[in-house]
This record gives sequence, C-alpha cells and structure tokens, in this order.
Amino acid sequence: MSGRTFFYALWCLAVVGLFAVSGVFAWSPFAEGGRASHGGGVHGGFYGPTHK
Amino acid sequence: MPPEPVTSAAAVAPAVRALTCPNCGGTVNLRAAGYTVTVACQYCGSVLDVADPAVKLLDRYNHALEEPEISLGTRGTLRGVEWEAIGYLRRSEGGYYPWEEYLLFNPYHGYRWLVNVRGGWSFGEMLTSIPDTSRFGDLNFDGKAYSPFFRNGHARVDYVLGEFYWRVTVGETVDTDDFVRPGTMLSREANANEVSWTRNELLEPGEIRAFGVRPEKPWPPLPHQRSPYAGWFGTAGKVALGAVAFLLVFFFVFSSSQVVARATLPIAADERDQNATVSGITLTRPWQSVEIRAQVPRLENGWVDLDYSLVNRATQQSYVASGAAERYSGSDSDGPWTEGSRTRTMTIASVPAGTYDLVIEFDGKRWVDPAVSISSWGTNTSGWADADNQPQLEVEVRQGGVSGGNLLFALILIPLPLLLALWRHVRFEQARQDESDVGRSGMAALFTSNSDDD
Repeated sequence: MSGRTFFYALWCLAVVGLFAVSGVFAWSPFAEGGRASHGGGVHGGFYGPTHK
Repeated sequence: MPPEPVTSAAAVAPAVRALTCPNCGGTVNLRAAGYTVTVACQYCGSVLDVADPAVKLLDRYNHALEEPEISLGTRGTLRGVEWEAIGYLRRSEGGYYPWEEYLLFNPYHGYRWLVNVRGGWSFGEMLTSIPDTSRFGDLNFDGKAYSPFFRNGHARVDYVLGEFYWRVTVGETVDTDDFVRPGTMLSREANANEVSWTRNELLEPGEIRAFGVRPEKPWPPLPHQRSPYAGWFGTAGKVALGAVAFLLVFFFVFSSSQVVARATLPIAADERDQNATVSGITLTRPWQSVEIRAQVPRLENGWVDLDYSLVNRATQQSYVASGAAERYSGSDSDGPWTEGSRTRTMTIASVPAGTYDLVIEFDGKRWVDPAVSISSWGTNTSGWADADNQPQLEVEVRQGGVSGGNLLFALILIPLPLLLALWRHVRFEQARQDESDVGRSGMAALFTSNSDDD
C-alpha cells in the first residue's frame, strides 16, 4: 500500500468514524436548536417576501 | 546515436588500455578497448581516432574541460547489471533545450545510455528491431503503443568527453522523433547514412543514486514521466466505495425516527403572543435528535413565530430552538408568485433520554404589502387569520437518529482528496503535454479552457 493510499484510507476512516460518533450522540452541525446555554436558532428579524 | 557494435564474452575481451594524446601528450585510458572508435582526451578535449593502432587526431582542442556530473570511470549497478560510464555527450536542439547523455559499458551486456534531462534520468537501450507504425501516427513496440511527442527535432552534439563506438564530433546533428508512453520513450535518430531507435526507460529517483547522483524532480515533467496519481485512482476509488457503503448502511440502520407527541393549537386572530405546553414527552434512546414539525395549513401572506423550549423534567435542562413559518403570495408584472412554506421543521440535536415538556411560544402575524396604499390596509390580506377562519398550529414531535445532513456532509468529504488528486493529475498532464509538438490529449485536453488555448 502506497503512502498516498494509506493516508487516504486514514482520511476515510476519520470521516466514517466522526459520522458514526455523531450518529451515536445524535449530534449534527445542521441542527437549529441545542442546549439553552448555547442559545437556539434565531429568526433573522426580517419578515416578508424576499424574492423581489 | 548510431547502432552499437555487438559485444559478447566470446569476442575480444575488453581491457583498459592507455595511449598518449598526440595533441597534449596526456595519458588517455580506454575503458572499452577493442570496441571504442573515438575518444575525447580528458585533458585537452581533442577527439582521437583509436580504431587504428596508430592513434589519429580527429579534432584538435585546447580548452579547459568541464567535469560531468558523473565522472567517467564511475561504476554503478542498474537493474542488476554493473555499468561503467565511459563517454559523455552534451546535446541540444540547436543550442536550446540542452540535455546530457552518458555512454555506459559492460563487456557482457554492451552499451547503454544514461540520459539526463533537467534532473530526470532515463536508461536507454538501442533497439535491434524497428517499431511498427499504427493508426493515428502511434507506434507499436513489444505489444505496447507509443504516442508521438516530439516531431522533426534536430539533436546537435555540443560537447564530447570520453570514448565512443562511433566517430563522434562536436556539431554532429541528427534528425529526431520521439514517441512516449508512461515511463518509456522511443527515440528515432536519423542521418544521411542510418536510422537508429533507442528505448529510454525513466529511472526511479532512487535508482540513479547508484552513480552517486542526487535525483531531482523536473518541472515541467519529462515527456515520458508518469503522473504520480495515474495509478492511484483505482485503489483510492475502492477505498472510497468501501467508506460510502459503510456510511449508507449505518445511516439506514440508525436513521429511523418515530413520533413521540402531537398537538393542535389555535392561533389567536389578534396577533397576541401565546404559549402552550406539550407534556410528558418520553425520549427512550440514550441520545437522540428531536425534530419538531410545525404546520399552519391556512397560512397565507403572514407568518407564525415559533419558540420552543424542550425542558427535562428531572434536570430542568432546557433545549431551545426558534424559527418561523412564513408564506407569502401575490401577483406582479411577471405573474403570480409564492414564497415560503406553511411548514417549518426544526431539529434539536444531542438530547439525552428522559421525560420532557415542550413549551411552545408562538404568535401569528399578517403581512401587508407595502406597495398597497395605507387606505387599503386590512383589506388586502388573504383572510388566513380572520375571525371566521380560525388558523391552527399543528405540532408533531419525533425522536430521530442519524442526521441526513451529516450523511450528506460525509459523502462530500469522502471524495474531496480524490478531487484534489484529480486536479493535480490534470495539471501534471497539462504541463507534460504542453512540452509536446502534438498538443494536449485525454484528460488534459478535457479540462482545457479557452484561455489555455490562447
């Protein structure tokens, strides 16, 4: 196995490992809400259509 | 370079022989005596004809000699055979693009060439058969195809040192054509009398250390230099597929979700703040994401502010999320339009097991088109929050597992190094092929932009 393949396999292992850990703890960087001490998602304060 | 003489153990045994330079009187050693035809004196540079026992002076020089990178007489083992460097040529394309060639000798294996182009080294062997021409100008030799790279070149000898098996002189010029495949180059050299073919195999950087040379990384790459990424994509692709398969299996096993609570709440028509509590939500998994889906079926040209607090009854730890369901529609010069959604889903991550209460603070608002005159306010709403059209907020709470966003993120990260390697491979191939007289082909041509063409 070449060094390049080894490091790529290591990269894949890290991504898969982090994905599995995030799954076990149900964590996601894309979640809107979280613990109150960290603050929740906040509406931008602007209401109304924005397409025009 | 002309065809080499046949050497064998049965032939006259080569031996080191010393002779005196008729120009400077220096002692010149012949390392392939019996095969060598000309030798350039190591002291004055004069070229001597040693085919005849009476040494003749072919070219007279009286100049300080340059010491080549590999001193003549140096021995090194390449591919299992020990070779001795006996001759040195510096050649160029009419004074441009110089390169060096060392003539190697082994009494049982004959002659070989060590070619140095910009610090990249190749091991050359004269061919005893002529390559076949195939379609599209390619060559076939030993069942392998070679693509044209340099056409109609003119290689000139600029400097000579040591001994050679033909009468070599400074200024000697031959016509050249070169054909390549990864790792190998076929070179054709022709003059008025003969045509010769040489196969040059690119040496690995470590191999040339046998002659005490420190290898370099030429850039742009040599014509027959193999992209360091070319053979890697197959193996890396298998690794990537394995990782993706694991991700998908893990996701489908652990991504299921189930409804743990539902509630329907009336929204006040007077736009005041309201709150409600959905009690006794039991979350059973050690950790889970909690997805709260709010739907306002009659929402039109208005919004509903939503603030959630999911409070653990045992610890009072609160998990919060805020957002709004917004839905607008209208008509303008482009025709009717709509924007937003009557549904808003929010996710709270990493919620531990326990019994929770969901406190919902909400208020419904009407949106009035500012383009409409003030006198029309109150009349241009869709009626979604009117007293006779009581709107409702439908809330559904689900406990879930692995996030789909995480999967997507991982699926993007996995091939990222592959894409980076692909980009570097293309840049390598473009730099290599840009040296060619033929132009880009394959993937290098595929990613050629108009500015590159210029």
